[in-house]
Amino acid sequence: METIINLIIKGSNIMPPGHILRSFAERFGESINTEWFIEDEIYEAVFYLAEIEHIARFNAFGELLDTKTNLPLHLIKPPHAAEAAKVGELMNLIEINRNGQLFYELIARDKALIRYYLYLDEAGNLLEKRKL
Amino acid sequence: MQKNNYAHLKDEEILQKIVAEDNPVLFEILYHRYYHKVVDKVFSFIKDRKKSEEFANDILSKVYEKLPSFKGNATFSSWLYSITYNYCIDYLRFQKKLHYPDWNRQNVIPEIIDESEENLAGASYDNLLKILEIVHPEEKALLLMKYQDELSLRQIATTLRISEDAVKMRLKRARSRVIYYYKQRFAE
Repeated sequence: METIINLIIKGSNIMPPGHILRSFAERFGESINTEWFIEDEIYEAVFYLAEIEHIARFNAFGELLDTKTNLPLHLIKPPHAAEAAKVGELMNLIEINRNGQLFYELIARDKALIRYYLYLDEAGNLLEKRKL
Repeated sequence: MQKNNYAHLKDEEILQKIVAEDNPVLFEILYHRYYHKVVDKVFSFIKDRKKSEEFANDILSKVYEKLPSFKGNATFSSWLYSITYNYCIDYLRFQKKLHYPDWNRQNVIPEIIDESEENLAGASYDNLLKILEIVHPEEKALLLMKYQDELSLRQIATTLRISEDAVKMRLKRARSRVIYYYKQRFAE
């Protein structure tokens, strides 16, 4: 039972190589509570910046692949809100910055509480929709 | 007699025999192995002992019906628990008792504590359980699925019907909330 306490309080203890850490620090120096994860040679940092959860992914060379931000729901832009409204109620909103291009990952649910994943570009064009 | 011969086998070995020998009676071994664990898990969310027993029966029946679809990518127990969490969260959502975005808006974490400056080395399991009772049930389920039952992010996403990125973000928030409450209530 001690394990679950340690895991919840300490989180991941994975430490990436120095060049990944330096690349991260150059971009997100003000971050706190950073946890690292590694999958298929992709280094992923989950952290807080300005009290909002972020995810930043780096390749093995330390190049930033994308950044994801867990946005408060009221910050949704009108074209994305309109797409969510076609389903029903917005439940989650993540902004993805990929080389300066913005994309949005939404979760919305209908009246029967069926949830859908919506993936949109900055203009609000629906790129993917699937039932969760 | 037959069941006793198999009682020493691992869950996955029993599952193989149920399928290979077309012997559904062997499921009783798994049923008895997990019934009380499932009841306790359900009770920790819905707080009704009689209903928890009914739900545990429903969940294990559902698992039996789904056995042909069990691919063996995860352990039987993590598969069973993911179905258990899904059942509880769905029940609470349909009862309109759960609305995570509203709750999260009304329960903003007052301060994201810098974990590098905190020392909660003496944290106790009993106190952690008390904190888990005051966070949102979906955050509690996230933490238990990830850190107690060791479900994969994909399993957690499927169970809560959210994306894997949403799982990572919400797990981060759930951990921060637990640490904040723990510090407030027990560490000062």
